[in-house]
Amino acid sequence: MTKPVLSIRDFRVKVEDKEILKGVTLEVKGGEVHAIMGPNGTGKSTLAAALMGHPKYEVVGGSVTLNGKDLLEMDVSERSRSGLFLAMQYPSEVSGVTNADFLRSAINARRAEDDQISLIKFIRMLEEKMKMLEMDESFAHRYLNEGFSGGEKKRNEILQMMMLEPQIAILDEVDSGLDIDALKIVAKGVNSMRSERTGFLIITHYQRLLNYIRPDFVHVMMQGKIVRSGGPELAERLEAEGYDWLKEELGIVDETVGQNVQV
Amino acid sequence: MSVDVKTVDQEWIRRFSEQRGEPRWMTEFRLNAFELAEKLPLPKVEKMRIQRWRLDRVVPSADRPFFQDSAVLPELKQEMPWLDEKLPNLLIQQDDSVSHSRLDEELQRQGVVFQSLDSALHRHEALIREHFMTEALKVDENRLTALHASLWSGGVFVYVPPNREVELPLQALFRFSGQGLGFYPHVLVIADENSSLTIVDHCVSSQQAAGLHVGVTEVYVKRGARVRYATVHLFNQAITDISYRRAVVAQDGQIEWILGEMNDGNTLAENNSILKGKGASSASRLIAIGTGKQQANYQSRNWHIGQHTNSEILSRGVTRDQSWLIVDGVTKIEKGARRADGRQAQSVLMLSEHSRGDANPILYIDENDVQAGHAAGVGQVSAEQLYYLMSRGIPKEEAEYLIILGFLEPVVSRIPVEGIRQQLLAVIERKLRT
Repeated sequence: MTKPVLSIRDFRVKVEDKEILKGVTLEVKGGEVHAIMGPNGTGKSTLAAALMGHPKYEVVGGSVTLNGKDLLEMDVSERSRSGLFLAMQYPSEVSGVTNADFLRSAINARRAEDDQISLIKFIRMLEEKMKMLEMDESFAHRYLNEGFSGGEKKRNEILQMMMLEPQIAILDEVDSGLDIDALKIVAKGVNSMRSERTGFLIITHYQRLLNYIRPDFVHVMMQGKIVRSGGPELAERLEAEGYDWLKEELGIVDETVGQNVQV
Repeated sequence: MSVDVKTVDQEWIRRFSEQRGEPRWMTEFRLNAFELAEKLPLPKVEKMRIQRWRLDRVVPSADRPFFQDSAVLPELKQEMPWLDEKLPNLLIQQDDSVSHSRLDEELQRQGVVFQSLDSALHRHEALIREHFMTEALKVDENRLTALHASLWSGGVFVYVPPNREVELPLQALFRFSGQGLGFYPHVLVIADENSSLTIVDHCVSSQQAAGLHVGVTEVYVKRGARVRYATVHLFNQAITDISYRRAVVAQDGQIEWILGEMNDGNTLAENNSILKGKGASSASRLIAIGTGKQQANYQSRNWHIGQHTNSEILSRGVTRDQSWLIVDGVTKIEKGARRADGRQAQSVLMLSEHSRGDANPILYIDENDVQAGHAAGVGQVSAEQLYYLMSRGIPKEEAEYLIILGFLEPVVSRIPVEGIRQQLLAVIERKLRT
């Protein structure tokens, strides 16, 4: 069985005439966990949203392929059905649609019409995953993210990821606003999916999450590009010393996007 | 619009009434109403020019004597497979007469009445005379209320004695199959002190039906009584639907209106709760979908007269193609209605460039010591919500459909009869997806 592969080459993205991503190159394969770190305003969330195809972002250069297929040619729903998942930082609320119904529709959207998931199988799977994430039963019948706390929304993103079994999962700051217990549960969910069949791209502001989900590769983003890559020890150094040492090495004064200073 | 005098006149009405063996007062009532119908103006409607609608074709389909046939027509069963003549609380009106009426024996023994209004005229004469178009809705409000008063037929009469709680919903089905005719069912509900009941009425039409429907529902909620009234309208495009639903609520009485408006033709509907007694309350929830070139105007009103009265309106519409939907909430609080609390929220989703939606919150407040809130919005399906659902693999059209279903959910989930709820969902799907 071939491992999935997300191949990002010189990816350039604009928002309202402002170039945010200035040539991101990265490859994520099944079985690998990549972490992307960096100060605020450096383009991390833009990368996540642009990969998913959010209409606000305009691709102005580069290529992205998923298992050899051109991802940028696909609409948002096709990208998902091809195996891409994005756990969002600010998930939408949709009133009147229950979490359970929504999940079942999402699962069935990627299955053939004559191969829809049976209700029993679905419920069994949902209960099992919810139990692992320590989510209350009542949650399944509540409306999609409606009235959920920040922590509950994040847990819901992880639940969806576990139910949809993507090939490449992007987690966009899934740890922000979580206390340590909630964080551990999120990590538990992610770690339970670590296998050759799934590759992870974890965008995080704090190193803390990486204590529980040990990355294979760590990349730092500044000014809309990846400026340094390394192993877990890179994250540890950033946690201990901050970003200044790196900025100095690279000759960067302002690490945020919108700067025309060369790296 | 004019009443077709070639076929309906005083003589016609007299004959109509006498053929039905109606008491004298009802015959006079009809004749007086008919005179008024010729003089009164059409209802006043903001913005929508209803005088341009088809308001002719008023003759009711009753030139033949009305029939009573208890077997449920096979056609009806085909259209509604869940319909079963053995259902214990079911009444069916087809065109001008009630063809089937059944009430559980135990309920009958307890004094609950559920039968056609025309057959109840004699047996419950005093009660009907006291309440029929005397307070909730008056004959002389406009040309159409007067027309209804003169030409009503069939209908439903419900009476629940004091302290009686009727658990099973009472179901009434109105089916119109007349071609170029009028249809005037009347529902009169009297819930006596501390009683409770649920009633579901459901209006459908045959494929070839065409004409004018002027329907009236009057509900008297006596002291401490609770009534839940659900109605689903599924008339075809060739029928103009004018519907009035009024409740008079006494002290500590409660009424809940659940309205599924899914006609394909022009519609003017008003639901109005008159909160007379102290502590009276009303909640109404409405959903509507406009399609084709349909024009539809939905008014939800609450009139606070007593103190400590509560009202709540939730109305949601969806428009597509070139349809036009107006969804209004009117909260009127009289001087002296202290501690009244009236809230309303209206929203309309527009799905196409050429469709139009208006959501108007209207408040008339003549008392200081009250609370009132309103929220009204008209817009499109949220791009963020669409993106979120699509990011989980759900294709765009289905994502939009799910979001709209979620939007309509507050009414769909409250329809008390499963078969009707499924039928409503099927019509929603047809109106949104074809």
